[in-house]
Amino acid sequence: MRRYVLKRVAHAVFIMWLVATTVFFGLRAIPGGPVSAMLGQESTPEAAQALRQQLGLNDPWYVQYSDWMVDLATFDFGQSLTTSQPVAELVMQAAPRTASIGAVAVVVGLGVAVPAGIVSATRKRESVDYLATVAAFLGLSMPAFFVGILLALVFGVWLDLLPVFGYTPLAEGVAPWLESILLPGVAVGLPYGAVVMRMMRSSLLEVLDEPYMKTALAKGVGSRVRLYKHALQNALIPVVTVAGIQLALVLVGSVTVELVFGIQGLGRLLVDSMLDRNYPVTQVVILLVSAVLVFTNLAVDLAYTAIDPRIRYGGESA
Amino acid sequence: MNTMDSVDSSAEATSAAESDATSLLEVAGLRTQFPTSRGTVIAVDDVNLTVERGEIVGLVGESGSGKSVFAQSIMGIVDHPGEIVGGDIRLDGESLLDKSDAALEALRGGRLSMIFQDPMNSLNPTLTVGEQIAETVRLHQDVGESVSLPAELKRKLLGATKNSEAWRRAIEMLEAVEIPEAESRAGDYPHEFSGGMRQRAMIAMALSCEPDLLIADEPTTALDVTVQAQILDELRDLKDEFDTSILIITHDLAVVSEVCDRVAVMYAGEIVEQADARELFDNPRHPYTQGLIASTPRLDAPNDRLTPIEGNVPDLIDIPYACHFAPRCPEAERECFEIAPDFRPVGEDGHEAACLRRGPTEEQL
Amino acid sequence: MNTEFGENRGTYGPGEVPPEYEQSAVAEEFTTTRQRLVEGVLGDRMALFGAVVILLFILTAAFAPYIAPYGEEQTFGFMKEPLSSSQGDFDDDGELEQAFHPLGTDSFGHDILTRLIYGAQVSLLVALATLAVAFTFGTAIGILAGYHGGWVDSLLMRYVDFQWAFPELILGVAIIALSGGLGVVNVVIAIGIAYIDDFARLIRGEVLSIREEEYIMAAQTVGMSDVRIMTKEILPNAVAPLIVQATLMLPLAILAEAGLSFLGLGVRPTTPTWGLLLSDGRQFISEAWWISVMPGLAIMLTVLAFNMFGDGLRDAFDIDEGEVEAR
Repeated sequence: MRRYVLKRVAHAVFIMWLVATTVFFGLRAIPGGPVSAMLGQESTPEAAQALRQQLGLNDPWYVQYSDWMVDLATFDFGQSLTTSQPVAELVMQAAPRTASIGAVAVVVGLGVAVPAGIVSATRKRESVDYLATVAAFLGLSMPAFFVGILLALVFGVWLDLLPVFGYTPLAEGVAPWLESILLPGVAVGLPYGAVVMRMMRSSLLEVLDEPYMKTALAKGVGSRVRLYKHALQNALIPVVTVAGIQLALVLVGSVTVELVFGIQGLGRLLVDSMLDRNYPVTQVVILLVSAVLVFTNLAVDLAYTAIDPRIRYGGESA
Repeated sequence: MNTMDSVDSSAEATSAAESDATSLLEVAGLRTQFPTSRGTVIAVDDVNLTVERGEIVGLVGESGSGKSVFAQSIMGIVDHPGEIVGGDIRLDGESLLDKSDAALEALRGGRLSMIFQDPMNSLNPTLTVGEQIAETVRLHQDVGESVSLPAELKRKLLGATKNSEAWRRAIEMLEAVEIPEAESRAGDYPHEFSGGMRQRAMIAMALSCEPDLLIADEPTTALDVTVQAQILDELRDLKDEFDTSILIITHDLAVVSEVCDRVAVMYAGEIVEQADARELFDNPRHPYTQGLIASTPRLDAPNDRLTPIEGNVPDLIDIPYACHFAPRCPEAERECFEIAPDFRPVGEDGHEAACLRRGPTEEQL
Repeated sequence: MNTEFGENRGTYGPGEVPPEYEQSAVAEEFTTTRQRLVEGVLGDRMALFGAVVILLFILTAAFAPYIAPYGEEQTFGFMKEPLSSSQGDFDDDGELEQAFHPLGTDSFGHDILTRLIYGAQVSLLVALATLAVAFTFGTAIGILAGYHGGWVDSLLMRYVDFQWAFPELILGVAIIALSGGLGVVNVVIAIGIAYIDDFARLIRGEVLSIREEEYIMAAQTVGMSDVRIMTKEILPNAVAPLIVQATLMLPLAILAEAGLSFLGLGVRPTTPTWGLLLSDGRQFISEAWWISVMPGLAIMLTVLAFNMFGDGLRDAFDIDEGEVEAR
């Protein structure tokens, strides 16, 4: 099993390196580049040149590249071109907001999806199942930001129960913090949960048909114990996969939902920096997003070792 | 709850056993069917079969004969939407069809147990082999361990207590089926066992509560030939050791000739012939049985040509012929299609066959 | 020991049956792929619903100018509520008319229903174009990788894995930035590229399994007719996952475009895709919620329809859920 873990970790690191390299070359391929965008109408050849020098853009590309790699390794992310703030600072401000939304989304999504999937599978073709299936379809047909708009409309504008703008940091109290991210979190969690729920349902249905479930029945094991002790762990394996892969949905959802609720998270940062050609910020945000995705997938791979004994203990022995 | 029930039924069993005439298992006129969109599939059509204490009975049939459904009917685990619609199944004199779901659950794995064809997939990959055996013990024997849902989940997360009675019993059973290093193997997962060992583990699980009857559905089909022989020997020894009667369901005549005391032959949902094993092979009477044996290669008659039975097993929906084998039978007469053949003595020691062309009347022909 | 089998002959031998028991061989009906498909979809209520809505969507998009109640740029009263009417002289004939707005009007006075109908056209075209890009490049990569194997395969699949680390939207955003601006073409390219990985993986898998089958076929085939039958069955089966994937990808493309436009990184403000309409209405959410909600519902309905239909299609073709991934 250790080989498995090491392989996955090495793979993750490799992908990250690949991402960093691509970001580097990609951003430098932008027509126009940051300099002309920044200077805009005041762009004169001299000013442009000065700025280029300042940004180190005149160095040969391999020098820039190694500088970039070193910077990354030492977590030196440079400064924002628009505000001269350290990029790290900007990101540190924005990240917790996006993370909070993501966390609520995952908790709400999984918290609803897993039980719903189980109920749906065990009551296949009954009204509960049909309802849940249709609800799941609806859920995954709505983009997170639209759900956000609807929620904001109903709970914010019409019922006036929850705030629809801005973010309250945890430091100012748990309740206010929760209030500010509940709607965005649920908005993102709904489509996510819908996908997971469908997988839970279909996976459990498949497991219930497996021969070993018949064996359990023939042994006289009760129905609830059969479901939770015999079936569930097996059924969760593909669910874990999907839940991990679809975290990308959560990330994307958070990015768009931030706009709806006026939360200055990574999404805002990304979009603004792209429009401003503020590439030190853009590249760090992209890297961060990729890193989160790559490492959550890694975590999912490692989670398998806990859930699937076949991976934990390798192959057959005589 | 479970232990209470088993105490009750064993009390009943004792009184029933006192009247020697009661067979261990008595199936009378059993009929199991499946409603489908194309019609009703009658998988088991008026089947009678008995198993006495200490016997190994073989039920032979091709795929599609209904033998697996028959086995599952006895256990009460027929897949939905199949259901038993007629006849009776008596275990030690008590009708199983009268019993409540809870009572049946108490019987399954306890007095009545079953092993399946596919050892690869019949063991749960997320539970250790030892736990799967210990679970059976906990369910049907009074070992003072709870089988409630919370207790089971706790056991799943933390593993079973290693010096509990149930676990020790599991190790004993693994030793009984000759799995080496049973104690450490009990903590292994099914994928770490080879095919033959997995089947042994299944047998260990099925016999752990010393059932009165073990039903083995194609126990050796998925195994290598050499392993097959070992498993069959195993079964025979264990039968004596645990005082368990066995009903073996198979399509393989070799298996049957190897271990069975008595044999019943099944075709298209019906039993067509029953006899002692030796008698059946020496003197098959029903045309289908004759056909089966004629199409099986034999070491003692190497130069005989193999005669296959022409045609295919019929679709079990609505067979219009009185004798289901008539269309493929070389000896069929008109009455075979119209009159349902009854069982008639055709040989020694209770050798019976359901064929109008056999039996005492034949002597007169 | 003698078995006597076949030695005594009865009136009716094997295969022979008295005339009144003769049954025309009730061989299992051979259903062609198309029949299975149609039966499958018709039988599945949700898939049927999906199919109907998709049809409506396509028809609306195709015949937009004929279906739309008003002209694309016609304006009426501002921010009128759904099911209201505006009064005014709209056709410059000197007389007052009533214009009914089932879905209300937006901040410029456009009738929302009209905008949605024309928007269907653009959304559909964008989605199809995106699909075309993803399909073309994905297929090319997949076929190359599957056919050549070896280092070509490894290299291409590494790329696919790598692309997988980027969620489509982020990748789309990145590509848009790279291409230097907004506009339909950029959006199509961006989203199209983002969805290459799914197609590539799928097609590579198909190519690999078809390759296997050919070898097997070569070994086993004696008569030509077998080959013909197999081509009639195998080919549809290979094409099937592709069709299902395409059906399930369209809604994703629609959603991705909506997302990009919503962020302000999508199409130019004049192209009225549903995503842009949604985004436009965001600022008026408290006064005129319908400006955003209507396009949102349209998106939802269409995406829902494609998902239900695609799912039903997948069931009808009997494809593993793991083979074709949906979101």
